[in-house]
Amino acid sequence: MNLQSSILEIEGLVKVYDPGHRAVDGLSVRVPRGSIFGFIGLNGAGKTTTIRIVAGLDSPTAGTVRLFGRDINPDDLEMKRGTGFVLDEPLYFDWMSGAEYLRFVGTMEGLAPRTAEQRSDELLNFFDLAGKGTAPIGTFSTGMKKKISLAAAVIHRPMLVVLDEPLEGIDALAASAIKETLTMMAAGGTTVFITSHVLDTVEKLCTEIAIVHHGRVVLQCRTDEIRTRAKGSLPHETFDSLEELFVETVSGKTRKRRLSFL
Amino acid sequence: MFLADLRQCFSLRRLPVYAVFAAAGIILVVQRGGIPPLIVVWIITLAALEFQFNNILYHTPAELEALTLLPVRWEGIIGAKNLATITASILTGIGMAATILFFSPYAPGGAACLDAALFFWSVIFPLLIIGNLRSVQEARKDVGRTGNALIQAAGMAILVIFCALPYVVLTVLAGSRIGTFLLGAAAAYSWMRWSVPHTAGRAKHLLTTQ
Repeated sequence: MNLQSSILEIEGLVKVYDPGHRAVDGLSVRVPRGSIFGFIGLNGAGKTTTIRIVAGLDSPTAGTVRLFGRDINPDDLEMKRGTGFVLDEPLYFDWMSGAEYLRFVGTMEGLAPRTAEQRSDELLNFFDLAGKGTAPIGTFSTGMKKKISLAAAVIHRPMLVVLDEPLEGIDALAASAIKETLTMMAAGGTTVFITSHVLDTVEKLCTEIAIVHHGRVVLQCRTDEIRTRAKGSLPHETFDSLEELFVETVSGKTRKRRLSFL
Repeated sequence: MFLADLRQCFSLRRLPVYAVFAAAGIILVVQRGGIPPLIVVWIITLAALEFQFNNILYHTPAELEALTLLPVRWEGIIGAKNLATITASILTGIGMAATILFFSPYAPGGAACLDAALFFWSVIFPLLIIGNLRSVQEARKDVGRTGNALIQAAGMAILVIFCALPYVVLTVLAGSRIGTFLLGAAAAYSWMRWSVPHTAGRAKHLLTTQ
């Protein structure tokens, strides 16, 4: 893969919180432009820390992060306008209503007030949140908060959307709306970077995946290569699903285990 | 940003703090003598708005992170928030005055109103400068608890009285209103030229240096 085709390049990323606790340990990954990229790993593998560094919410101990071909920089407003984030704890001004929040974010992202209002109305309708009227976001359910966060992340039509566990703790309808949005965005040329524990969804949704384990990427491949990619490096050479590949990659355990009494 | 900050200042969860301070103001003004009623109104108002001065980056626990993601210059964010604070102080002051003075045995005249305006002018910019510094040095994420807000507000009342010392010396003791005005103007200049850029510079790196 050449560098020009990568929208996000992370090289040798290290994050040490306390001596001896390396949350990220030499992680390198390149996210192809226009892909739906699945960033998967166990809890504590370093996914969220990596995303927080990409978002500028945390600083790396070592390594480089390049977004749109430039080093990340808190003063680079164009870089911020080109991205949208849905973090594990949705970020919002919880005293605002959904409509107020989306209009606020839209305006801050540089949209004309009229455009921000139109897109806000459209997004609220799409996510079935129009009926919430003036209720503050703080009173919303987890699924509704995730939907509002996603709506805010895409209202300015960014080139890259980063989502940390967008499908966690939400019902099937909300999950469906979120997946529909991501597919729609990717079809429109937006790059989607997503972490999720729901491996079935990642396999169906993503065009490329990276498996993170102990703070580093141990495998990166296209999803259509999953069945053969690990040839020679794992006990099995072919896999029926991403879940099998994932389990074998991070645990070294094979899929054919059995309990003697079951 | 200005309107959003002003809006949160008057959200429902703030009302209990305002109500408690309005009650305290009423108790103070019905006792004859002592501090002029309009000055009491300002002290009560500024104390009730403590969070607006001293914790500008955490009106909700995730606000600093949310602001960090927005493509807006920090100087603009801090400036807008401070201007919202000035506006909120004036609007809250008017509301507090209407409530508190209803119970006051005094009817303030024109000179009292002028002195009250001068008092506000003399303290508002020093309070903003101190508040901006505290916001980046002692940012508090535990926002929204009325009990904590009341304790912080009581400390703010003492700070307001401290910041009013130049007003007391120049206007009350020396009778120099122009001196108080010029001192307030100097504080305003210092806020604009030093406090806002300095706070913006610190806020930008606050998350990554914590």
